[in-house]
Amino acid sequence: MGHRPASTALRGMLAAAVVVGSGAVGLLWDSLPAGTPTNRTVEITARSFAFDPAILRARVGDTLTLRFASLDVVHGFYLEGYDVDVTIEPLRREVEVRHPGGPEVELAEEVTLTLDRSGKYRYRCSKTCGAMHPFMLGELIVEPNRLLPASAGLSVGLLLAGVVLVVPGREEARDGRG
Amino acid sequence: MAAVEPGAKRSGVDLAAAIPPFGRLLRRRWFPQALALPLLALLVLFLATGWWGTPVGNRNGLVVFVWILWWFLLIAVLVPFGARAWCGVCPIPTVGEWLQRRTLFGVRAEDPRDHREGPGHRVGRNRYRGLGRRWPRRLANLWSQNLAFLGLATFSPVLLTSPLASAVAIGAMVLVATAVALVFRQRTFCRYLCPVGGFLGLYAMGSTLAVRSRNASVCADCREKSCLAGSERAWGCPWLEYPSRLERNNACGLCFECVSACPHENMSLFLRAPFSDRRLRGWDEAFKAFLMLGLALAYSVVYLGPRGELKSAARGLATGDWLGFLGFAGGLWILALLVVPGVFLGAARAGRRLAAAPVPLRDLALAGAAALVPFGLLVWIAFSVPLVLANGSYVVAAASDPFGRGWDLFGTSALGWTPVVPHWTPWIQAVLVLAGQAAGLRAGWLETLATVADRRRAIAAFAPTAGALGATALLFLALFVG
Ligand SMILES: [Cu+2]
Repeated sequence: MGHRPASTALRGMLAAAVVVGSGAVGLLWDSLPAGTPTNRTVEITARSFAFDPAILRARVGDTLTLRFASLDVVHGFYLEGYDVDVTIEPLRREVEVRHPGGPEVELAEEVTLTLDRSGKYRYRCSKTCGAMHPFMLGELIVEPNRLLPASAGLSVGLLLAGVVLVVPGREEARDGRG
Repeated sequence: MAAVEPGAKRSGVDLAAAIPPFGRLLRRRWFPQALALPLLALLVLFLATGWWGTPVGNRNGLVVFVWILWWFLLIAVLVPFGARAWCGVCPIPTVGEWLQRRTLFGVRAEDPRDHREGPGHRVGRNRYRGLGRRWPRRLANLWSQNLAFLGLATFSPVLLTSPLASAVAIGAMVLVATAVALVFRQRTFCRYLCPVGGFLGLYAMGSTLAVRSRNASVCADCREKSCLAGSERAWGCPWLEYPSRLERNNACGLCFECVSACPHENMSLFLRAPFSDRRLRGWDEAFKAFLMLGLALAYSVVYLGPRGELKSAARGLATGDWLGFLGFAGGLWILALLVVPGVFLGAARAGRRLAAAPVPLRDLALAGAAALVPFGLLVWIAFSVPLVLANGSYVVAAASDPFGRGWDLFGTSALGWTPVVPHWTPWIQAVLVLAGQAAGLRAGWLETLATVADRRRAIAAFAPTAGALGATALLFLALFVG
């Protein structure tokens, strides 16, 4: 029973290579040529307990100008990874903009963001607005979101590596058992 | 894990032997039960904050401490690294257990040949108060716990956000645990009724800690069987297990009675590789694994997803949106009891055909479901990570003001909502999902190989389940990362 140590080590290395390779293929999958960065204005509407748009897609390098409105009570707009926290009052164009990294607070009608980091960032309500407040969130996807194809590649790689690890070797195949 | 041959040494690190002071602590009768007392005081405090404190969930000590701090410590730390250590110190059954024992740290032991009648009833060498009934055999499985947990999960949108509802639910658990302790013997409630206990037992299989016998031949020669029957040193296993024969973590509550009881010092606590217990023993356990996976999926969509309609529907019970609530509850139950089991039972059936394996479908399905123990645990941790990264600061603030009445006990109540590296969430979640997939593939494969015996047939038999697991992992990656 069992494999000889050399073949076990070889299988292990091959399996690891398969996993890493699949992850790498996943990474390359998304390297489409980047378009020219665009400038967009997006209206973010908050209500209990959702943001509209719920999912915001953009490309790295794009500039987003965000304007805000609340349909009911006071909500917040905290963007993960971007040091922006906005307080949105109902029936008011002006919002209070805070940068959690620093002390200054300013009033503004819009917030301009240059998307210099790719990936998935959630925007969360930062002002207690009711029961489901801790779960009030939306998603900013800044393409290329490389983690998705890379992790999907790794996931497929795990299945392939499993095959490499368990298929019977030649000798085992001959006597029909593992 | 195969049974240990008589005389064989157990694999893993024997912690009581490796760290003698720790071994002495494990043999103390008051450890770890004494820790339940301060936790009972905290439980009473939090029930009070739930009852009388602010109705705003994220400012109420009960909601914040139980559903953010306790939940995260439980699923991400205690279960993977400490098995059911929580059960060893849980304050919920403490009152009932005291009513049975009528002593905090003492033991009531007597000679079983002594036929004098006393108050209460005798189990082995120990005397307990209460009726001491045995739990009905038909109910001696996880089905009650499966239903209870699904029920709690259905009301989770209210429980997680309403301090009063949480207080009522947890208070009711204490009452039921106490009542059950008066009628049935020992930890019947924890073993067969506690909704939390069911999934703790399942996922504790993967834990790196395990109470086991050191040397099977010592147990084979043992006449006293104090781990089972109790002695003047300790109570017999409160969990209705036979500790010297433990081969899985599922029903071990880490009370260490057996470690204290054994006159041969043959019971110990072992540190071992993760995901060592693999064998599922019945449909009740397989369905526990299925429904926990279904709930992780549903929760990830509803709580972590961006869809506000789903969140409103989930809370329909509190807002009068009956249709929405019915949709949420129906979706949850269909996903947990039909879709996930359907996928994995279908995969087992397909594998059985592919392999032409002369093995009952049940055995193959249970072997495949073994994959969902590591995978389920890790996706539950992945689901829980953003809850603490984003909302952990509520715990610090509520510690100073648990009732939400403007107190400032530790000077932290003014701390605003401060997420900590929330943008790392997708990375951490991707690693957890992939690790869960790898560990799940290994567990399911090893169990299938042990069931089918023939390697080539086992590959064919496991292939559809491996595919279903891979597809599920991709689904979670799409939710968490995409
Ligand atoms: Cu809000």
